Amino acid sequence: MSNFKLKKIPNLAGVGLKAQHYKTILQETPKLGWFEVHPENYMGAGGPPHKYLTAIRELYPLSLHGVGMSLGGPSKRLDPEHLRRFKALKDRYEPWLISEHLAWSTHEGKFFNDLLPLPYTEETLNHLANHIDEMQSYMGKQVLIENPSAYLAYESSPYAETEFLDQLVKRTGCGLLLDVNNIFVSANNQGYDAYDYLDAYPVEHVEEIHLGGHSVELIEDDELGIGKLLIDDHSSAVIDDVWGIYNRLIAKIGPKPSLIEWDGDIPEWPTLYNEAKIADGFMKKHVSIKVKS
Amino acid sequence: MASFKQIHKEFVAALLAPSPPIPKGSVALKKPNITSRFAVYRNNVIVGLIAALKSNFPICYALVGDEFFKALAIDFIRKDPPISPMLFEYGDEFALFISQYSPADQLPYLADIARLEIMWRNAYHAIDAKPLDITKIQQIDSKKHSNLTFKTHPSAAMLTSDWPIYSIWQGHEDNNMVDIDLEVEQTILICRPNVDVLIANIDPAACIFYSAIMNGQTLGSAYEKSMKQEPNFDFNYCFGQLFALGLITDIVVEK
Amino acid sequence: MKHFNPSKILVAGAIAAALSSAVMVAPAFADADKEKCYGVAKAGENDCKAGAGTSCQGTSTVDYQGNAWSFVPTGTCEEIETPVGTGSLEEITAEMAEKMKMDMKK
Repeated sequence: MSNFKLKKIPNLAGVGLKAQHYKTILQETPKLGWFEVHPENYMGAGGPPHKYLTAIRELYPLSLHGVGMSLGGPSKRLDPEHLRRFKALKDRYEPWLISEHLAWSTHEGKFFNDLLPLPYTEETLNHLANHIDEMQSYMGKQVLIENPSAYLAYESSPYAETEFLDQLVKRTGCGLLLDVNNIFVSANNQGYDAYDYLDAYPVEHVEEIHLGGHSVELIEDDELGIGKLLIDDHSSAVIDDVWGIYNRLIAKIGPKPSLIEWDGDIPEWPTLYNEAKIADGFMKKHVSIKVKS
Repeated sequence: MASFKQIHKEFVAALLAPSPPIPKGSVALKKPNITSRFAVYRNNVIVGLIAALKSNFPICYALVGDEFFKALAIDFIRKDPPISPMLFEYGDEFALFISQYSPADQLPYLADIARLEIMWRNAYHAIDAKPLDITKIQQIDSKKHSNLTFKTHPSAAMLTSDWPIYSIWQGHEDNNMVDIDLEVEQTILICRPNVDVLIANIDPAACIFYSAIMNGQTLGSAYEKSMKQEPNFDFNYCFGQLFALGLITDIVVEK
Repeated sequence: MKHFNPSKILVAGAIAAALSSAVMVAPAFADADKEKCYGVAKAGENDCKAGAGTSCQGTSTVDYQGNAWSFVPTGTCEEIETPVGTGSLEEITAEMAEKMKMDMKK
């Protein structure tokens, strides 16, 4: 049944695959741990996207990082069509990891292409746990759940995000994808300390790490003066503060598959490759750390 | 406390509204205020969807320019947000919307260019199939030729317009719109036999011929219909072009 | 072939004759990937034009204050020659546009 020789994603850096780099990657076959794609971009029936992804999949392990499952959406069941499309890609490309977000994006059949925020309540927890169960049983595979970038808070949100994620792991057996840049962005935007968040986070369930850039917006309100919002736009290099959190994280848990996400103002391939090598450099420092299986 | 469902409902209503009420229960823990914070989500949605339409309709975008396209896109998005997370297929209703959009009245060809771009995208993502080589027809008894029917490529489609859609498409690709005669009506045939999407400009007799072939009529019947339309119908050329475009994936010989 | 004849036998004969020459003049399919071959046109490098990508990032660009009525198209459409001359679409009023449509539809 198996189509591809390479399966397991190593504890090395990978890069989010972009169409403009297909040809360079196939020509140069850079030394790199793995690639990740958004399955939504490969849900067409045929054509060049599948041709290139197949060729690249022959050479590298793959992860599917979903954007549109809307696990936090209000409907009772997940969209059966979307589940079917996702599963078909999983069967076709044999990804080592599949992941989704702690967020919602679909409402009454309409797709809002953003990762919208959830209040962390008992009701949300039950709802999300059901959806994660549904997705995992349909996929026949563990799904990793990613912490979002937050821009606002809910009045009534009794669980801390870290505690909420821990509960989801306990209830569903899902794994975690820890986006280090999102920690930094949310910590700034919500006024907490990124390292406190990391200390409270159930790191033992982390199976994948995301690294990306963000931008800084200074916004002046009449009543409050200037406030700073960080926007998770994946349009620049990872900043030193974020590498610092990453360093602390892998000092705790050892090397893990670590992805460079760069989705806007996409640079030439060597810039992305360089970012991946920086991540590999951090991991080499901590390679002696015993990795829990 | 607002219920889970109530939060989603209010959030969504505010995302697309021109001046949104902030969803109840959402707060700012520090500055900036909640209005600025909620605006990030609205902005992500709107800007993301404008970008999606821009990338799905690059010729329409180039034709009308950035400012007008954004205004058009926002009006469309508010009326017709995507119904799936596959944004590469967002905008199936965009052509119809443009055709009824008064501010674009002065560009009466714009809706058909949007139709062309939708067809282009559909062909690009269509299921793959291997085109048949024209020499295969030589292996068939010539007495059976007029009763042959054909399986055509899943990506194949035709579009007939009152406007010079092929010339505008070509002008966009060549970065030269100056020699386009707006009084010409054109029909295009699109196919993606392998990697590249191919577009051919076809005349009315050829249009009848290809339609008949794509609808599963016999070669003889397609030939007759085209000759009736145009006694000078160039059968050799059109038949050759069927294969050059990779339109034929199989020949069905009547038993 | 100049004179249309509905007789099936003649049609079959015409097709058989035409097919053998069509096979001779038509390019092998592989050639069709070359630009402007045999009346077939394609854009260069179109294998990466997959259309919009779905993605999980946000944006810092702000854009939701649009009013189409306050804008006029100012893109490449200005190069296309209209019955009232090229460019300067600002000067084409809705009535003129309507008239253009009528004129062009004969």
